[in-house]
Amino acid sequence: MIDDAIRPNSLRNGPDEQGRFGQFGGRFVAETLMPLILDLEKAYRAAQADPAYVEEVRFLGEHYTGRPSPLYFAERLTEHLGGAKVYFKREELNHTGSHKLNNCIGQILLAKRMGKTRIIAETGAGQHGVATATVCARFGLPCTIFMGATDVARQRPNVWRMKMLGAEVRAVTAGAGTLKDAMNEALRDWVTNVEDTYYLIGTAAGPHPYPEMVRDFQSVVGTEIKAQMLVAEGKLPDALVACVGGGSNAIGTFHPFLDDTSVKIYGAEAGGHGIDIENGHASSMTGGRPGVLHGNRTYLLQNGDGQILEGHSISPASTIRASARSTPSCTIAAALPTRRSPTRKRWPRSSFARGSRASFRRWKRRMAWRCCKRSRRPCARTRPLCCVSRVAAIRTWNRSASISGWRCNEYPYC
Amino acid sequence: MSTRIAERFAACAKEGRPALVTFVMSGDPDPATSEKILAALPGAGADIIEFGMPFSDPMADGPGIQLAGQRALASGQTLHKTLDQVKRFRAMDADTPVVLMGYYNPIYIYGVESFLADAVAAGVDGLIVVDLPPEEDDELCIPALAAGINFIRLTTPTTDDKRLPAVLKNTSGFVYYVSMNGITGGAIKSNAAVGESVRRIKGHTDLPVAVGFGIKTAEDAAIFGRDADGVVVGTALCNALGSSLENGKATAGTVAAVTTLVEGLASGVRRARA
Repeated sequence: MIDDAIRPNSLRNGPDEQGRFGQFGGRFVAETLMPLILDLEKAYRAAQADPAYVEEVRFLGEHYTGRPSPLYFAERLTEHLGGAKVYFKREELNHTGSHKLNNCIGQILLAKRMGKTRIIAETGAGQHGVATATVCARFGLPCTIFMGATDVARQRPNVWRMKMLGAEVRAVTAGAGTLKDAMNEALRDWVTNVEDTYYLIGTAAGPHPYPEMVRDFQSVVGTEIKAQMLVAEGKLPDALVACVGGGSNAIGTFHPFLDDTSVKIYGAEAGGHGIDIENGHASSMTGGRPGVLHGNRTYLLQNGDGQILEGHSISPASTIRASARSTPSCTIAAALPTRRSPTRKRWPRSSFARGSRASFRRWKRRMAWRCCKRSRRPCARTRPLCCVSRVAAIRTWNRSASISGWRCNEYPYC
Repeated sequence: MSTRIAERFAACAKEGRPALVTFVMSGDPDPATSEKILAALPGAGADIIEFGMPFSDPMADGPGIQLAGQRALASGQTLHKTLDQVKRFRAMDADTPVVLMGYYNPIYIYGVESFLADAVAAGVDGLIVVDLPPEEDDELCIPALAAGINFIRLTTPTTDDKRLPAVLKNTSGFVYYVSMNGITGGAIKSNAAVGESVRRIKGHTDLPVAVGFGIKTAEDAAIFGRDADGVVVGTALCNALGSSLENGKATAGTVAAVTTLVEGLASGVRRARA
């Protein structure tokens, strides 16, 4: 490893004074919000320089979130794949069950420093909503969560959790009723209640300094991976894999490694029906192009007229960015984390969009054919795909789909 | 620089009344009807026309204008079509200022240079782009001013005296004062505070100041027109248009629904200082 101090052009620099990362980022918001965003940046800079704030974030990370999260050697998957040693970064073992709390703690402490008395947030699958509702309960602040009506219907358990934590959940019916629309509505609320309200953005999006803050608070994930890999293997991983939904998990995982040229970095986006099909996938980086939405320039799925597309994914949080942006949501320290809900052992029918069910049927037919073929010439890589029961097939599909880009493997937890 | 806006404000001032600025969404409910409405607005009493460029994610707009945008996009409206409509309007009406209002992404995707060239050719007088604050002036504001198109900026109750000069710096045509912290079509809490803010802004600039967001009726227009050089009405017109539709389609009464309201508002601004 080369010492960071002597490296002239670190990829970890940025953003610049305009909040830009090259052409991306920026502050594309209505004038009503500008003074607040400038204040927020000042408050964040002051907090960063305040050892008491830094220590409080660290302390809560350790004692409230439960950091560091384990780096787990996935022995069976390593055997099954027959190549690299696969490690999972177990962010799902954090309090509230995802990496989202890392960022929420940092931001709620900032909101308190700024004297804000009300918190709002958007959520897709509900993980960020649950984490926000949790920190609001912890710090005694009223909390309103905006969630697309479609997502409310398919993510009931998380809606209950938010309500149990005392949050008000507002179902957003505008547009397709998914994360993009929830974020629009949160921005509308913010502009209306700008005096007392803090908007706690959970994804690597929004106007400067939000993407920077989310990156900074989530980088604890990658920093821990680095240290834990050195203990486990005595070297850095050869590769990182993280799924890309909204971006917080991926940037948190990748950022500490950006200057380590030996580490290959892979982001997995939701492929939906295939990235050649307009509006049929959620791969904004692979199949989108730069545009301006929700306060920043980023990769967007959009049509030729600059209208934002809804995208398609069976995972709520991937459609998130499906429609909107370009960053991810779950981590593999050298492989992929499979995570299953304690409340949902099987996929409920309702979570299958009609198209997704069709995709699944097509996949099953294809797999059956591959199984036949394999019976003549066994192939270790596809062995577990022989399963015939529907549940087992779905589970296998979850995994293989994660790899092939069918869906975000953190579903329904992004 | 296009001078129609300045001339129109001057003419209204000469008559001792504020200008009536009307917002309608291009392509709402369909391109043909929208064009008829555009053509009928000056006759109904609109002094300046804000023509909305529909966007899929209008983050600063309330339900009225959101729905108008959705109807427009559903009818196949694009930025190219909007510019074509302005061009045809300009061929019929050489004097009424037309200001395009919307969000940045469609312009960015169109290409800033080609958009400005086409807008100048179409006879567009000004632009209001909600999500481009002064911090992002290099994106569109500076090129637009260089191309001779006014860049009209929003100022809001959160824009204090310290920030105001930065906001006014590259503003031209007029200053759009947003009457409240909120989205279009909301409720104005204090009429007196709005009047005070307008006077405060006028202390910083010689440009005309128009008030918008929350002005719905002829009475509102008369009240806010006392202090301001112009009043902007948008949501009320979009709602009037929306309620004239049947199954989402234009009816014989659609154009009249808009023009009748505009006529009422025009009488309101004429009463403002009477």
